[in-house]
Amino acid sequence: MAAIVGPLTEAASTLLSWPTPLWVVVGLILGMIAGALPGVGSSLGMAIVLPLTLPLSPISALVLLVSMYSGAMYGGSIAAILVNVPGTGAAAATTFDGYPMSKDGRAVEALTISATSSALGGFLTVLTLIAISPILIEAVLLFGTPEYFLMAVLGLSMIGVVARGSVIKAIVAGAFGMLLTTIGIAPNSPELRYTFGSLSLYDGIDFIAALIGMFAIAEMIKLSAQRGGIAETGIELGGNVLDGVRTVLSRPVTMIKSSFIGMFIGAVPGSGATVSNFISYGEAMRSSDNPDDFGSGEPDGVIAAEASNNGTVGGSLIPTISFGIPGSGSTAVLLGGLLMHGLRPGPQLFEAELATTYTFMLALLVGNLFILFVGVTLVTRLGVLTQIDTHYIVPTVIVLSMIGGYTLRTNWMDVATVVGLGVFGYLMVKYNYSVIAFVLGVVLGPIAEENLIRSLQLSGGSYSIFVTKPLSLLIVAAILVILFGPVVKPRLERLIS
Amino acid sequence: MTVQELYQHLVEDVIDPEKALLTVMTIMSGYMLWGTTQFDITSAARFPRLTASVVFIGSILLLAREYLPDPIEQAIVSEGAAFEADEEFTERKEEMEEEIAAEAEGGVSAVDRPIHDSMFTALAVIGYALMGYAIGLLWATPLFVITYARWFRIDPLRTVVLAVIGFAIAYSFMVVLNVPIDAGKVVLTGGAPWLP
Repeated sequence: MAAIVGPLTEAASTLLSWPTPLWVVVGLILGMIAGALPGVGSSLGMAIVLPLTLPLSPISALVLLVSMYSGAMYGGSIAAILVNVPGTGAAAATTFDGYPMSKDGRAVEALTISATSSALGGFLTVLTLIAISPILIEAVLLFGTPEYFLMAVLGLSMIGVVARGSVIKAIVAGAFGMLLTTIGIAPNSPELRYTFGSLSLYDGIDFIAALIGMFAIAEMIKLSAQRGGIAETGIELGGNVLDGVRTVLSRPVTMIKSSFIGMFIGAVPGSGATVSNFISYGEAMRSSDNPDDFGSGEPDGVIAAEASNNGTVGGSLIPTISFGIPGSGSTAVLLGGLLMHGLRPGPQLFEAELATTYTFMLALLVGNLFILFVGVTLVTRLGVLTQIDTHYIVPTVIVLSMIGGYTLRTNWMDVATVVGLGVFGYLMVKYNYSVIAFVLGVVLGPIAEENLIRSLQLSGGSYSIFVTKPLSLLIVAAILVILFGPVVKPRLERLIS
Repeated sequence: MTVQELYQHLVEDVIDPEKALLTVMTIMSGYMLWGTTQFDITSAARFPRLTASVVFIGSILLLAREYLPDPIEQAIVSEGAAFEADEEFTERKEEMEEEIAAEAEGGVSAVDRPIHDSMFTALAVIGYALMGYAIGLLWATPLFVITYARWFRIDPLRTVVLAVIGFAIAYSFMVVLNVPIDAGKVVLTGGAPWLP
């Protein structure tokens, strides 16, 4: 514990030094705006801001991005509550009770419940993350090259588990993402792969350009087909702010339980807040004394959905910073930010860069207090964002994405990546090919390949290096359980019965 | 047959976009799989060979699923969500998604145009990139925004405002991040040195 006091103090001092607090506030506001704009959301918002962070220091850039992530989780609830259209998938379950509350003339109460549970849920889980970080550090430092390869495989095997829809489609999407990362110079060797002699392909497909295409362009193509603006409804902003705060404080069990459900699910690669808010909502309803009230304006429903989606933020940071495995689309973009600013997930972030890691954890902690402040004082004004016609949003986001893509390396190949994967991503979404699986493939491909090659170099070409240490064996066992568990479990159950 | 009827016949009866997506993946993975045989360094071929094989086999299975025996087809389309929400909520979510989809797909175009709005946006994005390459992204930006806004029948005043915002975003990138987006590869190759 004593080992983390120094870096924590340094992180606190960095966070309080100008201009870091500015980036916390800017990130939260941008995140809330992105979250409140239907069709935009955290990952897309972060993807288009990513190239703009190039001139910033690594700490400022990361603080901006994590604050955006946190702000967007809350911002998504504004449209969900006021117009029954979740700004992000993470707020989908919020519509079930948030919108009925608005129709009942309790919109302000619902928005305050959302702000308070988002802030407390986020605060609690980030605090837990900081508290368990010494254990996390010890654990991460046990991992060597073979274990990192196996962790990447473990992350990829989660594709099949968390995928909604066909598992084969998810596996193909993930493998295709990995395949694209093999373009360019091979790791640890001078072999040029699929470059067609073009210098601009030597460094391969840019990971951030791929994210911009998959998240921003694909989403905008989809959004442009939706009819007009979203907010023709005339919800009156009635209700009381203090009632909202009191409601959350009087239901600590729902709030705490939902936060940790969010944190746990957030730590599972590929799942994220879209899954956690439904599960928390279901659990709140299951354990409620009045389950029939859910869906007609029950505050517990809003608390469960909102505490869990902000709880997901802390959870999803665990695999992202420890092993470079993003827990969600937003953390994939965050990972892009880390790599873009020269920080590699894993031991580096827990040794030399420990203070940086703590800085963005503390930024999240402080950011949650800001969410509470904004939610309680200014939220009625944020509602105006839901009135913006999507046809004003689409061209603006496309312009930001295209120019952002070009800015990455002033390379037209990146623009082609943005456009190509944008159209490709749109078709993937339309036909239920998991975009998250594809992104996991793009992220984990280079990590998996590099560690595979290095491990085999260390072992002289022998694959036994992956099963000789207890830790490696444990990960291999986890991979096998994940991959074959769904097939074996029903047979075992049949045998037992 | 009118142009719109021909378009609808093509996108609804002739071209299956999912099959097109899978065909692209099959061709690319097939090419990349073959490419691994051309590498001089064996270790550099290992990973692309593995991933290309998965994509190639998976895409072919998906492409041919209708022609496979029932049990195999079922295995291909089977779902695998471990963290499934309660059934009732899954249904409600699906209902919500269906409502959104129905709203989005109610007819060819929400603004009474001959092609799908998503198709137009995809083509406009491709056109924007090509135009940006030819004349520079700075100059292509307002052209793209105006085309998009007029297609979606946004009134002229708002169209101009959006175009100015688009140009301002592009100009800010150029000045703040020092990216040469005022120069094209075909025309205006020297950029616009007269800009402040």
